[in-house]
Amino acid sequence: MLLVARKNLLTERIRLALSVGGVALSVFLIGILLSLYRGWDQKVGEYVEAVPADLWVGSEGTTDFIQAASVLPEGAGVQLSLLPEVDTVSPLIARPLQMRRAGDDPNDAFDMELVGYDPASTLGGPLAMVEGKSPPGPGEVVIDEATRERHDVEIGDRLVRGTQSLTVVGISSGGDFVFSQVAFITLDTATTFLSLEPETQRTFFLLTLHDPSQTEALAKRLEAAAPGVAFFTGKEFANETRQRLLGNILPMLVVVLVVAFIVGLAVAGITIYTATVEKSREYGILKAEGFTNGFLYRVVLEQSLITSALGFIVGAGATVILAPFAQNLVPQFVVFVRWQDLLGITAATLLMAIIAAFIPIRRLAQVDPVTVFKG
Amino acid sequence: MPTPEVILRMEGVTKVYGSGETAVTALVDASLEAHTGEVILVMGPSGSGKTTLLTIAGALLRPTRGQVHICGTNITGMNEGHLAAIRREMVGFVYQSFNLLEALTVLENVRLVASDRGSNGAIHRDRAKEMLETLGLGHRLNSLPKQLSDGEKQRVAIARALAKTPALMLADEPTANLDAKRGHEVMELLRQKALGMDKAVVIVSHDHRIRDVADRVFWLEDGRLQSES
Repeated sequence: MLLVARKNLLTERIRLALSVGGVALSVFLIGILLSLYRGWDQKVGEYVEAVPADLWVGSEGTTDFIQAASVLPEGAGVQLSLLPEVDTVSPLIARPLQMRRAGDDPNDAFDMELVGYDPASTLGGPLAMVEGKSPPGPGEVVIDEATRERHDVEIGDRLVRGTQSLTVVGISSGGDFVFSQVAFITLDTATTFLSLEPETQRTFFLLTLHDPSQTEALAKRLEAAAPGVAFFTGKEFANETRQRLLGNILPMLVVVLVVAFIVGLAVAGITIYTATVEKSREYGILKAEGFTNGFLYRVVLEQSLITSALGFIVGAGATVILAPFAQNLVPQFVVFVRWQDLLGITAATLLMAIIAAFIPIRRLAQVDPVTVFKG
Repeated sequence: MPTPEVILRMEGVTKVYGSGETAVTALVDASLEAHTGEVILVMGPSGSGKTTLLTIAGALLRPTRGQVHICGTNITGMNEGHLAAIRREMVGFVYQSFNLLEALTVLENVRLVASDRGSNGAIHRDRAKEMLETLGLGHRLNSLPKQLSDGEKQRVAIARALAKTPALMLADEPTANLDAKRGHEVMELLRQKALGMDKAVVIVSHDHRIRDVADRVFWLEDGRLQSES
């Protein structure tokens, strides 16, 4: 059976190449888009999730880290520190803004998430230093390595915003949000640089607890007891941030994934169908020789499975091989190929093969073996 | 000498295509018996019902009336699944236009049809190879059908039909695409091999030159079958 399927495919090599190419393109598109989504998903929440705080505290209505509209008075931190379950409280000032390297064209400004933290506690500060010093001093900033790569900013450069500037003294890692990166300054520098009024306002408070297993229970209790204040676990806040940044992309991504699937299915389906129609007489011969419809169905299904398997190998291979190159060329092209996604794509390809074989199979049922007796 | 066994028995077979005013009667009350070691030739002009007779005898078409028995089994009321099994196990076809699978080699064409469920692939291969060698095609095992002459193609078709080890062989205009010399050679070969293996052979043809290979000759005209003897 496999012999007939394989030979039928190999005799029409151009058709086979087209069919495999169509499935491969579909698998590649699905693979690269899924990997891109996974890469973004991983990067966008990475910093928030990695900050070793048990609870993030913001003002009511705060939805995420990047577009934080949270404003809390410094006194709220004092009140939180009085709670018996709380071990430490660290204030954070977070503000999205655009900056440029001194001397660069204003059009070359780039997005940053400026984070002012308390150097005494280091909570909310750089996750890991790659180069230079930390904590930064007054008027100094630690940038993320992604900022250095994408915008050519080096230690010693000055980053300018209006009439103010910050000197880069260190490079850290783990603060890439793809569309912008975290840059760290001290609370005092943040107050001055952002001209905060009043100076005591904070964006978040980061709490560590004596018993981290009580985090969720405490968050619920505090939300009920302190109206106007929102409490999030690190994971919750990371997910909210991901949702804010990627939530609008996901529906579009799903549409493109469906289109890619349909393209693969259409190409595989049309080529398998035309091959079956062209071989109708031969299928008639097999019927006349006593082969059942079931046998013929399996021949077509095997052709479809072979085509799809080859397409999957080419498409998945291209995804795994080309994704890192794309990432090097376009820094925002952050990809993360997960084996679970590859399994999902395998299942999608299998589904493609089965559906592509369905219409030709229906056609086979109508082949009349008596026709092979007509010269 | 053992008594010849009845392989094919057709009793009062009538075939009508369509219904009502458009009904066409292709075969009328045809009866025929073919025994082991016997070659029957059914002759007749185009449109006389020869192919209809052959396809009913070959379990491809059900008669409108009458009975068909192959190797003692009444196949008249069988469903398509059972008819396919009868064709697979008991009937070998030789077609006018050879009907080889173009993508398969000569050996693969024969081997595919020789295979039956549950038996060993190596046995099919050996049986197919042996059959092709006895038909003088040992040097063509790995050739594709398009690389063969028409005479060679028809010999492959005969090998394919014989490789199934069927009790009944049915040939539809087997010499129509061959010149006189090759046509005669192929028919002699078919007779020799089929009879050597105790098959019953029914040939339908309008080629008078092959009358001498037949033990009995029937004439079919306007759907009516008559013995010439």
